[in-house]
Amino acid sequence: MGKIITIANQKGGVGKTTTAINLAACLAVLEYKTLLIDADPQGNATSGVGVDPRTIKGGLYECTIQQSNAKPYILKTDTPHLDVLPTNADLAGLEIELVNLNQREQMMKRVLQPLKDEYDFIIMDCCPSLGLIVINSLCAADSVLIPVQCEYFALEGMGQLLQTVKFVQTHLNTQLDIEGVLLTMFDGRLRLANQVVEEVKMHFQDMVFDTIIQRLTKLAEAPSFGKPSSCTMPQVKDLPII
Amino acid sequence: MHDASGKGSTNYLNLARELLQRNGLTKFTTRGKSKPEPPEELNENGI
Repeated sequence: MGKIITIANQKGGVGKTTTAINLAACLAVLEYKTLLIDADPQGNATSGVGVDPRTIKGGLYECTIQQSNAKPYILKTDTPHLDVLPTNADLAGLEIELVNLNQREQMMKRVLQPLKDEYDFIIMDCCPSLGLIVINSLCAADSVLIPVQCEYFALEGMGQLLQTVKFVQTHLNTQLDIEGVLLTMFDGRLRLANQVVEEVKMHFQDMVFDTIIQRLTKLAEAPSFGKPSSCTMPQVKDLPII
Repeated sequence: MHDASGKGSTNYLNLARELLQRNGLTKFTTRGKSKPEPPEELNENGI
């Protein structure tokens, strides 16, 4: 049975999509069957693995609103072991359409639960909000990974996000765990970045991943090629742990 | 062009490995995929 990990932070530009794409790609490179789910109407995770959101015949929106099988909408990517459940701008309408439905928080869970038998890991990229789409993804997930940017407002909104996670854990998904806090966009030349690392580690202690994602131009450029930075080259498996 | 052997890949590969460790999937085979550690009371042969 696979594990659903949702990447969430209501703050924008903290590295959610980059993390979702590259973590999914690395798990796939390590030969774990992985599904990347794009739960952001901007569709950047979709295009980031080489699928044009304008050309898809359906995706997360369709299967969620129809409560239908998601498999027909899942696409293979160029990376072996990595599939994507794409999305396009239609997903923005889901937020409004769910409002009047019973058990609106569980709509994605019912669709995604059967996929856990098909994949080792399911990585969900969320939009920067705490709306119904994100609540749905937290309800469907086994754990949440929280990227935090190593910048001045790093901890802004973290309290609200953790309150939301606690609310979901208490009322909607008692199995939801916090996978960890991931520091992103770290520039070791900046004193501020080092201070943020210290502060986040002081607040969240063991919850913080030892791995810190550095601010790199090539990471930012990779989506323009429609491929994860951590693409399919076999030697990536043999890279040393730094 | 895609930085497959650069720092960006290394960062996320390390994250993937750390995540696998946190989930009890720590031993890497030659093919890359890790396997769950056997319970403590069993030896390497599962006895």
